Amino acid sequence: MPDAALLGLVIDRIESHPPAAGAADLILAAFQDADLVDAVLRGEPGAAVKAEAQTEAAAPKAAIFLTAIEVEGFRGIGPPTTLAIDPGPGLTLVVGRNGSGKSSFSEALEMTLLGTNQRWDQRLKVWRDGWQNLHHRHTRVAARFVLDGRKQPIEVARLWKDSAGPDGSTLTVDGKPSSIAALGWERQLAGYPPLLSHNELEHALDREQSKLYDALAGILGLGELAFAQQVLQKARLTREREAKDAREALPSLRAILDRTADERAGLVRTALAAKVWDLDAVAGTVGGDADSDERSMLRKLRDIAGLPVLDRDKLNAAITELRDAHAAAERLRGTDAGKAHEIAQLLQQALDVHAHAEGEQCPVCGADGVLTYQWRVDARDKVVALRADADAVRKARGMVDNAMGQARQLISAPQKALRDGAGAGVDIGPAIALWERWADVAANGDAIALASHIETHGPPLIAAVADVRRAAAAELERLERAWRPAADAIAAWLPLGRRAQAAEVEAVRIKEAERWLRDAHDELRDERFRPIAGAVQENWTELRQDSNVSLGDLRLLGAQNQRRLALDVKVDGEEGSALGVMSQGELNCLALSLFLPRASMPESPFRFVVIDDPVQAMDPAKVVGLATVLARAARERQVIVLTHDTRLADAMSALDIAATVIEVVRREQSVVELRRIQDPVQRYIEDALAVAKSRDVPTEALRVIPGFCRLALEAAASLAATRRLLRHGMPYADVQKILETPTTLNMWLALAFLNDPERAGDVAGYLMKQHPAALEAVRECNRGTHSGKLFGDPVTFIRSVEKLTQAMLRAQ
Amino acid sequence: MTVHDQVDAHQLVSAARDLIRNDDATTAGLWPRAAALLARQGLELAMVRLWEVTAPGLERTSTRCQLLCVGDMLNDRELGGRTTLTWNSLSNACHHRVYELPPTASELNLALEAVWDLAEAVEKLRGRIRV
Repeated sequence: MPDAALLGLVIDRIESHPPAAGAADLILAAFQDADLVDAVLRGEPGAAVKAEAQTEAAAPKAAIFLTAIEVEGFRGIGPPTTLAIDPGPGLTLVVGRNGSGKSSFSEALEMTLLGTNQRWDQRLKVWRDGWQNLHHRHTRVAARFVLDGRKQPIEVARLWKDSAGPDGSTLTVDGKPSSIAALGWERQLAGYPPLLSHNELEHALDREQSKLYDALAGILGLGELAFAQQVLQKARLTREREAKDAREALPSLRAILDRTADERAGLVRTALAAKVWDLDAVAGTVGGDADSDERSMLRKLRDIAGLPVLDRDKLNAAITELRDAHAAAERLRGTDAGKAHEIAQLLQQALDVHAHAEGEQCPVCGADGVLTYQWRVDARDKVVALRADADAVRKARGMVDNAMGQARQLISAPQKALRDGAGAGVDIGPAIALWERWADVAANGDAIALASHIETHGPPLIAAVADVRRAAAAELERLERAWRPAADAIAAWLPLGRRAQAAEVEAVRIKEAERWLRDAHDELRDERFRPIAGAVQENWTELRQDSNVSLGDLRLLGAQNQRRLALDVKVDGEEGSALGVMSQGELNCLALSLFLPRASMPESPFRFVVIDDPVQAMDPAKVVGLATVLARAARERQVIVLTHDTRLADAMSALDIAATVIEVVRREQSVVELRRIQDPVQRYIEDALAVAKSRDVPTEALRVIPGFCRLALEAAASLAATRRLLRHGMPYADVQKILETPTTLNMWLALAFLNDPERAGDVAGYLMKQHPAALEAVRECNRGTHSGKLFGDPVTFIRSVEKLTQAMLRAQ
Repeated sequence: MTVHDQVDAHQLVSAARDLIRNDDATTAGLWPRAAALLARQGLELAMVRLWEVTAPGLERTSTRCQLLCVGDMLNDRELGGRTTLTWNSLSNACHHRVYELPPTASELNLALEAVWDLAEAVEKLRGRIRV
């Protein structure tokens, strides 16, 4: 899940500084993964919405506090031991000498949460070999966590089969097999590591600047920024490679095209010569529509191959018809159809005129007695006969005309395909010559002439056309065979070319997204880092105390190979080279200054931080600073500090910082004991009382009572003196020096009561006056510590010692 | 109740070892300093018994002075050196020291071994002188 805070900043910035069209979805998708980027580029519906919705999913998680760490058979701890910690904000110190097993608790927690996956490989060999306790070969580590809104703590445990290696663990949550990922903690653990081991503390700052940058970038979610940039870069490179692949395949394709005489090779070459390939033209050429150009040889050939063939039967039928019509007309040759028609007309008119007249006189010649009834009958018959003759002649003529017209239709000029067919590799000369002769028919010839023209010139033309058609088809076949390899090569390349063209467009869009992210990178980073930088400086100011090194601006700079954490360091006010001038103690302080704010990011669900031995190599003044910084962190966080000596506890006690102190001691056989301690004085008194009241301890053990009482008095004197000196304004480091002076109880008492350890000789006199009842107790302490002898009732003795310690602390 | 006086260094060393070994609730946490206290008492007791037969009155001088004489008196400089180191480390545990935590079991075992050896040497010498 992407870092919600960072993604929020990205979305805000997309609104305030809109990227080029189409880039915004890509930017958001890049924070998810490469698949979503691809989906957005493919224009998959919903992909963009999914990219937008990422922020909502990254909602804050329930707060997690630690309530116990359980360890068995792991590192320095043998039998099962539980470190119980109060859940909730506050400070817990786990104090134990080196080798007491205290670090085993933080290591166990680390092992529980991270397993052997992380950091394990960087571990010392000792760690890897000695992960299992020597005395107890059954290993189990566990931690209990209190989660907001859950009544019962959850128990996360890691167990090993008795013969398993360090990597052979299984994880359970509340006893059921599970995983850290299933808890949803994996990303948070990596982003906001709540554990700081001593090793990391020591070496956090002597790593390369880029590593330090990465460590900080990781918690700021800047890793996401780099991740998104990488996703985009990778997506772009993939597409650029696709474009390159297509381009690189071109020369060999061109070579094939050059070797191919086929005109289509030229078309494809031209289509691919342009800056933007005309791939549709290429596809068309391969797909077969190359002959849309009239000048195309293929078109010529196809046209020739498709020349119309004269139908021999039709020719014969035309010839027959011509001749039959001619013969029919010949038979009527003697008949004057025109004259017959005119006479028929004249007779009809005469009949019509006579129909309305009386008499038998001819109105034309004047002869009388001719227009008789008989004349009328004969004339009527003649009109009919004459008209029939005229019709027959007209019909025969019509049939000849008709036959000739139809026959002429068969005769055409040479086809365009044939006329244009020169240069296509087919000998069309004879066919054209025949066709021209065929077309050259006399305009005024009769039907017989036409019939013989057809009879003479038709069949040779039919044969010649058939020949050129066959030749053209054969030529086409030959060309296709020669073209096939080139066509195959083009067809194979075409998808590459198409993908390349799409990829180039996509790459441009990705570049826009990349440019936006690159431009936004520094500002997003600065915005994200600002609160941390502030907290780091605040911590450093507290921790540095009397260090002459001051910390100026703290910035993450650069990106990729140039990335680094810039620390402006001033030594006595002079600019210094970052870390070179700092002591190990100062470096530790700085590392801690960095760790605490990052572990305390509000986005982290972990409300606990565990720090292993931050005190080593620190001078007393820094210990005070550390106590203050930890106390401040503990207001909101559960701060657990493991430490090998009492300096931190002493400083806290001196500064009146509330803290739970747990002392760790290890017996033989890796039996580790934990004790909660209120303050050292009370602890010694209680130890003495425990021995005095117990019936189990051997009598010899009673001899330790005066010793414990003396320790109680000395501890009270130390605390009383510290608080007084600090109140008087003495620096803590100086106070610590004074506390190193006393070597005897009387010197301690002199320091506490008389403010001068050297006045040990005056202590008896002072006590006589101020605390007479305690004088004898002090004497018994001194004597009995050495002799082990005790006069009187031990409990009474212990109580009078306790009273004196209270008096000492009250005197403040 | 008073602690009876008839105790020797060996008994104290054994008692201290018991404290270290037996993990019981009463002594949990307090056993390191208790064992240190017993060990130091054992060491001082052994020295007192040494002075009884070699240099009566030496027990009234400072412990530092007494420690310097142990090697010579026993004619064993190595044991003398171990005794001094042991007393120093035990004293640290028996006084309140800033930054000091109770000694560990292994540190205590080393010290107890030294005390035991010292007591042995002293008793052997006393036996020889008495004979």
